[in-house]
Amino acid sequence: MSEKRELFEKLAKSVVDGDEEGARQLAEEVVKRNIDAYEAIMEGLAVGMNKVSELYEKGEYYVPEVLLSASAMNVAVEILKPHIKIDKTAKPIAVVLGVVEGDIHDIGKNLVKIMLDAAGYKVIDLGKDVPIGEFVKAARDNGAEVIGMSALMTTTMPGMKKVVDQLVASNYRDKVKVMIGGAPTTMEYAKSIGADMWGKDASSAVGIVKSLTAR
Amino acid sequence: MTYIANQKIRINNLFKIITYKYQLARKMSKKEEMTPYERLMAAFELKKPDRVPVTPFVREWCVRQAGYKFSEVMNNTEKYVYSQLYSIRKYGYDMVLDLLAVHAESEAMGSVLKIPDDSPPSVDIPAVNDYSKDLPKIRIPHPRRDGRLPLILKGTERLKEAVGGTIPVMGYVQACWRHTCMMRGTERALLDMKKNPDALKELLDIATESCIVYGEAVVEAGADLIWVSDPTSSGDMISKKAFEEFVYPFLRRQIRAFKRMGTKVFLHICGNVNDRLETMANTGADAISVDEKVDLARAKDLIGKRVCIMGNISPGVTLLQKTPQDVEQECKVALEKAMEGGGFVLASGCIIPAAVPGENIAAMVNSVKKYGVYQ
Repeated sequence: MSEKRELFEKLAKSVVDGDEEGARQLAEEVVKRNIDAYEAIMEGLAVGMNKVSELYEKGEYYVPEVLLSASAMNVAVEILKPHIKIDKTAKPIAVVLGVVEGDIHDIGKNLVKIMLDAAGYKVIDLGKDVPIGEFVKAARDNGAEVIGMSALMTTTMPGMKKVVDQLVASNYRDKVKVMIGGAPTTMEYAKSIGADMWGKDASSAVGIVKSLTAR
Repeated sequence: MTYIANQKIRINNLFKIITYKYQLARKMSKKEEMTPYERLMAAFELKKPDRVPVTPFVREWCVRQAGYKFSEVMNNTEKYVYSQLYSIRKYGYDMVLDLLAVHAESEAMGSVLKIPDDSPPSVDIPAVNDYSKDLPKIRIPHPRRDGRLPLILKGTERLKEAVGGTIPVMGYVQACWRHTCMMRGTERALLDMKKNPDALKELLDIATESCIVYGEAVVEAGADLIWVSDPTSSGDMISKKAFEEFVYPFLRRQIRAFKRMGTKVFLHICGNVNDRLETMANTGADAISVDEKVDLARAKDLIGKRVCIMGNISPGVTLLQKTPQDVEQECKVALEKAMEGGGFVLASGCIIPAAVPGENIAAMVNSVKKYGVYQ
């Protein structure tokens, strides 16, 4: 095994274990050895985070474990980010994210953000309790290709439909794809409000954005 | 003042009509018909009532039915009480609810709420940021003095005055773990399980104590039963192991204290709690309330001999988006799964959104009359 491979595997493991200190040291080593930072994120950290998602799906990990892994990943990403060699010709795909109005449950949305960030997308994070009009405005202003919305309460879910309706009303629906997620939502609900895709959990977000923006 | 006085007269009239309706129904029916109070208490005691009690968890739904905005009732007891009485008279389900789940306990301990115009509040700024600085400052609130607690208790008293003895009055107290999350911020509290378990347990201990002090006031105000709810213990969020380490010992203490006050208690935890149903029953609650991620037949089988089961009509999908026929069908299936032998209450899986059509609540109530009568 090459030294680089070994380092990536250790990075992945530090994420799975939620080991912030380990992740920090390993990220610093990547920088010191002049290893490609983007590669370290994608083949080290993101691989670890995928493993975390698998463990979450299998019911071995729960939210506290996922949060701990995410925070370890974040520590490493912060160190590696300034060293990513930006390809000036490729403009990253922009994704608008937010938790709909009246809802402050943003743990899932934050996880989606971390994963999309790591996968190289430009994330415009509107935060939580986002007024309906902000989604369309942010998508227009940033030329975003995808809008991702989440709601954790049955009482705030209807806000997602309002956003889709507003996209239609402002003749912007065909310019963006819409994905939704959050505990009370379902694929059936996504279809009923005219969204393009539903994500079962945070880990499915990268795959969905990839498929929605495939050209 | 005149407005409030008028509001009180309206409520008192409404109350006369409601109690008269039940007296009349009782006189007219040949077979003894139970009052909602008798019905719910029988189910909680694992007996067979005349029919299955039906308790949609209605809060903002009633507020909208009565033509108010949610922010109005946050500061006006009489309006909230009116909305409850107005809706139960119109739809005839089996329980009135105090102004529940507005994080009033956490607000009274220093968390700052955000109160939108027409939807329920959320915690905007949690009270506990730095454990070492903030924990020593925390005080157990006085239920009759601090924050919004006196206003909520006043509502409980008014509900009891209006329908007490005929319709059960439900008082709400957050589960200690939810209260903890609302004082610390959920994400941080979840991470504290890993990074800061000792400080977290100290906060949980204070939260539990304050829930017990407040619960005592809720019982004194006239609540016939207490709803303890804990969405933050869902199987979609924390492991059974974490539930047993961080939540269960404190929750059991809270619920057992309520039981010693002579009140009935039901515990509701949202989401997939299939792996912790037995632990939930071990808290000593009279009833366990679950949402649509739990199969009622399995719950009945597993813990139905020890506790009453409540559930689990989907508020976000079935009640909000489907037809009265669909609602009836889902209720029928729920009744078939769990009513046998008594000890079952047909409830919604969680709080009902304001936009749910009235016909769907009516369909839920009708379904117990159609399919939920005990022979």
